[in-house]
Amino acid sequence: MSRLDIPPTRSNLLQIRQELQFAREGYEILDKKREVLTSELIRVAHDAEELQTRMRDLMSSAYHILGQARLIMGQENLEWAALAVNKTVDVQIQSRSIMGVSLPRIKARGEPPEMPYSLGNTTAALDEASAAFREVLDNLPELSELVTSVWRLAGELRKTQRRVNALQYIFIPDYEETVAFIESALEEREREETFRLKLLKNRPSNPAQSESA
Amino acid sequence: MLLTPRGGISGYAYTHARVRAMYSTLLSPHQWAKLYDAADFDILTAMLKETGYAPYIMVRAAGRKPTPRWVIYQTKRRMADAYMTVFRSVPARNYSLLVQLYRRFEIDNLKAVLRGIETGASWDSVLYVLFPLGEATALPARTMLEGGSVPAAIEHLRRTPYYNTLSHALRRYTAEQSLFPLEVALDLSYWRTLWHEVNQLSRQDQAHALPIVGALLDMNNLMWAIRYREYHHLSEEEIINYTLPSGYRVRDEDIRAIAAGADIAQIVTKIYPELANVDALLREPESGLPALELQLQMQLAEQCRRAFIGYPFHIGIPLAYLVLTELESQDLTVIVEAKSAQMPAERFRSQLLMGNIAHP
Repeated sequence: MSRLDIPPTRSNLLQIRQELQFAREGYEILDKKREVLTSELIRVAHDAEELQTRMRDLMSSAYHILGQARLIMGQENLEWAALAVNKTVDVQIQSRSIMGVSLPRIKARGEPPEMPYSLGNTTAALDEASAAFREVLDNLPELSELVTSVWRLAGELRKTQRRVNALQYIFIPDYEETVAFIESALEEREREETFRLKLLKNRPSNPAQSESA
Repeated sequence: MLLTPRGGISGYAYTHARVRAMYSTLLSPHQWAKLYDAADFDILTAMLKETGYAPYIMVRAAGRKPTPRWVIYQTKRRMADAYMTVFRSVPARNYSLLVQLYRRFEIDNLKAVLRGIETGASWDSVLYVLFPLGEATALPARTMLEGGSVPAAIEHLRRTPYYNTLSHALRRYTAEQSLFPLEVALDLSYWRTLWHEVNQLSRQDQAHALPIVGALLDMNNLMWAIRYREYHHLSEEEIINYTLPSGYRVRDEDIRAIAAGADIAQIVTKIYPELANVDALLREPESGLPALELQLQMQLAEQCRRAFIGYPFHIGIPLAYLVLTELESQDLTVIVEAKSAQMPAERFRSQLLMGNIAHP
């Protein structure tokens, strides 16, 4: 803790008190923001984790099925079939705000065509792989929305936490100490002034009179 | 000029001798067992050099290691050469059935070109997936692709059997901006023409060709109907539209029943009572369907092998050989992919057709 290096004047006291008040209010607001961000982060992180686990399973299963399709059809035939797919989803990104943090809302539009290829010279394994990856694709916008939200909320929470700490452990104590110092300095000065006035009051008004007496 | 025998017993005698000789170069159970046990892809390639594939595998330039993709491509080249050899030995009047059978690969190439146009793919990437038809194709693939538009590409096909089919389907393509109607039209037209060619054969040839072509057609038609329903969730009307109304063992009412949502296991069991455990297999249709597909292919392979037993002077012999060559190439694809991915044997054994069937 260290007090601010300013002259202990009444005007500085007023100014520092005002700043202390402002810092306390700021602290309260940031503390509330931190609480809201924390609870939102916990909720979103939980959803993201659940979906991520599900996606990991889906992806693992989809790649396994794709491996089977590749085994049966061969890499070349798989690429032949994949030539038919040129369209993927269009992504629309909107945003919503939580305590000033902009969180994305991702909506996928225009699924890939239900029947990109005809069934001639393809196998059921390819259909299965295609269905598995379609399910992955369906969940991808929500996962990216949640993961981005987690990162942004965590980043904002870290910033807020830093600010709260700075206010709580640096600015407010410094201001408090400075206020205390100025107050004590002013009181000291007031006491000195009083003492000096008393001294002046008790001193004889005519020095010549006091000498003759 | 191709020297095509006239037909009859003398014509088929030559065909039979030729095809029998080639049939003997198909991989034997002993060779399958060795390939199956190959420790890795390099050993597998070395083993293939001791089989009928030797001329195709040994052509790799010195110092250039064969890749899985190249090996699979070479097996297809061998298949294409087998077709050419058979074409030269078959009586002229039955030539068109085998040519139609071969058109499947040309249709696949045509689809690749159309897909390439639609996706803006380069010629190299399309060329990469084309079946090696060599000189046996009238498809101006590169010109079509470089034209950059599907209607313009179809115009290049005026002198081919695909023009009418594609130009009829073009309206739907334009409306839906999807290649699916064009591709389905090609598939359906292919099988209709093949069926028509079988029906043009003499009674004796027809009797031998029907079980093989019929098994091929039924397998495709049945699997299409089931896949359209189970994986693609098409409506009843769409399923009926995108499948064939006739077949050998599969009837129109079977396809309609599947389209209407009837129990698949029941219908499959009715059509193929000899198939075991269909109920258990299709309890979970999504994982059971690839297994059902495999069982139907095994039946087809058995059917083809049976063609070599008994009276030999008929179209069934070259037909069966060509189908077996294709199934062998499919099995080799499985083994090559599995060995190159260092897959444990138990993971790919169930996918083998020929490797699991003993020669009669």
